[in-house]
Amino acid sequence: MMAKKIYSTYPMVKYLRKEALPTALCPGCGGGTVLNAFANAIDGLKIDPKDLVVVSGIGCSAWIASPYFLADTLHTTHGRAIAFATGVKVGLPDKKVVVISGDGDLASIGGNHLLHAARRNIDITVILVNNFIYGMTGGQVAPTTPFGAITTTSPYRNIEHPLQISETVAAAGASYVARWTTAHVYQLIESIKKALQVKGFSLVEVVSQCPVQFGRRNRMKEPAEMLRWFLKNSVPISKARKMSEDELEGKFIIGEFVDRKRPEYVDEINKLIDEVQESFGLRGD
Amino acid sequence: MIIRGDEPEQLRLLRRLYKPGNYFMQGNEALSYGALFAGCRFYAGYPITPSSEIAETMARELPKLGGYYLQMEDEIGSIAAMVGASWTGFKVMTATSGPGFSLMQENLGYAVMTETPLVLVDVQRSGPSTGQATKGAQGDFFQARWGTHGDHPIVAVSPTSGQDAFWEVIRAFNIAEKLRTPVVFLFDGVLAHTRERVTIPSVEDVKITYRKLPDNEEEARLPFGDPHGDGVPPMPLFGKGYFTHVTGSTHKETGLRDVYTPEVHDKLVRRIHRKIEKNREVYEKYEEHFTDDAEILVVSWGVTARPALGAVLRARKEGIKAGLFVPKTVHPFPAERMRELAKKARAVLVAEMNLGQMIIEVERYVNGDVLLKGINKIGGVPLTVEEILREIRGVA
Amino acid sequence: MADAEKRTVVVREGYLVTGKAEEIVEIDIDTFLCKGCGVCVEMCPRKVFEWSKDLSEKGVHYPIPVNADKCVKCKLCELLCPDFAIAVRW
Repeated sequence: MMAKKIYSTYPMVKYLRKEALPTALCPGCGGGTVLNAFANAIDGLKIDPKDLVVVSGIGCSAWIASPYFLADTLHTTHGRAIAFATGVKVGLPDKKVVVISGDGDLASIGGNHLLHAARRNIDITVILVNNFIYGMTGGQVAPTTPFGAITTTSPYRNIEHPLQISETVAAAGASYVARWTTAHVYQLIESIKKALQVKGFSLVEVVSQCPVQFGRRNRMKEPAEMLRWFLKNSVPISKARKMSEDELEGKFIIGEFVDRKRPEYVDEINKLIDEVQESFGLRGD
Repeated sequence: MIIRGDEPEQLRLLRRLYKPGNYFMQGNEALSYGALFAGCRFYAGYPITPSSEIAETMARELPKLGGYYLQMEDEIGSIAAMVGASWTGFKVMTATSGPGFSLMQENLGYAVMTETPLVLVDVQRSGPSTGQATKGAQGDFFQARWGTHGDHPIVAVSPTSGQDAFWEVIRAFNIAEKLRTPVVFLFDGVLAHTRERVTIPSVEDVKITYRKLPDNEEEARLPFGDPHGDGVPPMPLFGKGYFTHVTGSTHKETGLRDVYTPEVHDKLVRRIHRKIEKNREVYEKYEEHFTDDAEILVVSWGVTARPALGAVLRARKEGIKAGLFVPKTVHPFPAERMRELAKKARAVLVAEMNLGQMIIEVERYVNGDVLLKGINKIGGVPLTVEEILREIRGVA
Repeated sequence: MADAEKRTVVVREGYLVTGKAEEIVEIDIDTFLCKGCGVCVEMCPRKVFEWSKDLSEKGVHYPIPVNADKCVKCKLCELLCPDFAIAVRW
């Protein structure tokens, strides 16, 4: 039932794998908005998709770009997208390697790989779509689920507190870290553009609505309700600095956390090869 | 820069760095040099006894050849990075032992399903669990075959010495590239750390293969099809503008996921099996000694094949018609030859450093009237010539 | 100078529903891709969209840009749409 002819006149459609449309994402899924923003960022920077490799894992957010975005796409095992992407980037240093996946995939089971990629400062861009739930499997609690929220495996209330992913990755050594919500779509597009251009590990965490699994169980079953909730509870970093921990409970801190230059992994490994070959007198004949 | 290993510049470097001749080195090092000669220029690994020397050798030598050594944060990340790099065009390898091999199973299955060439070295150690970390064993025979879930074929090879490891790892790479499949290389802690004479050949004597690449756009559009009828699809690498889609989900010939149509899954999984089953001549290999008239057939593999050979030689001197069969490719098992040899024998003894694993394969091809017995030893010390000879005498 | 007399014409062609406001903007909705999530209807700051009375082929109500003449070209609908179904053209 998949169409090859798409009628939409939206120019960004040219970046999509038409034979895979319409997407399997739920109506109103923030993931679709992230795909939209990503296409706009690629378009704005005039990046040729032939110079892109997109890697994803398992989960609804891992489906955002794979298979829907038309580029070399690698859809991998749960939690390991960043590790696969590391191999791809070392092999193809001149291509832009982008990981688009979810909070469960990248920060729960995949947390280790996320931390070390940031530590290595490898030149990949990670767009981490945080819908604070395990959506694909039916709506179980995640390490990013807000305290007190209702999910299928926290049916009374969530007793854990969510991980602050952006702050953690910033501390691990990333070059660029930013957090936005899908409601802040203009800033999101600009941030993705910046992340793609940074040499080093860049993370854009996108707080995204999952109306079907999260919203519905937490009194926000309409996608627009969740978007309004994001707008109401977002606090820019500059303001958050002056607020107490209690005041920040349940709020989304948005903005750019880190933007710095650090030695980058692929540069370093290639530099090492040059040094070794030089010192062993292996160059030329 | 993607390196295949047979470029003139690479041959020049190999000639320059590794002069042919006899060396005294441990099995792990011999294996590593074999991998370098095979064209391996990307290694992502995690240290684990008794395989760490492979990582160390690769870390030291790969930069000299323009290759990449990555130390990942765990074994899972290692095999993941390998698969990613293989899709950019590198020949890739990692080495681990039992506990790490257990961790790698999921992504090994991913490599089978996405038909990604790679070589996974398992330097077996005493298990289960942490076991005797520094001692060799042969307990991963069936883990190599069935460690990952679902219906999947596996090709696994096992050398019998450090010298043999040098050549067998080259063969493993050639199989992986030719059949677009991962190959498991079953080594063990004894051979890994034993120092012996290893002859490094001249580069000209080493023949290596590279994977099938698409000839045209049409072939590139079907990365999981069967355009040549041999079950092996051409591999449209990343970065060439093919817009290749690779997924571990069940997929059509174009690579796009389709989990709804039963025929798609059936076709894909059967083709992946057929790719291995119908290409026996690519990987099947075994060694035989004195099998023409053997009444007592000893079957063995890996490190145990050596004392087994010693025992068979001694038995022959004592007038016992003993013979030795050593499968070098252990999965898929050389069923036809096993059946032939078992027909001629009165007794079949399977010697291995475990509580009986290869014997389960052998049993399938041995008639009920033939005596089948295992010669098993665990505890980290290899079987000796005496121990095997005693068993041979016992059934003579 | 916003003149309240400017009208919007709604045209349909196959799957496309277009709201044309002469000399202002044309907004296309692809009812094949649209899943009826309502983000555009709710989030538009000028209330350009209204829900359709009928159901699309997908079985959902879809947005019709009946007030395209009020559009300020912020493109929030176009950018937020998870299904690439909206195009705002001028």
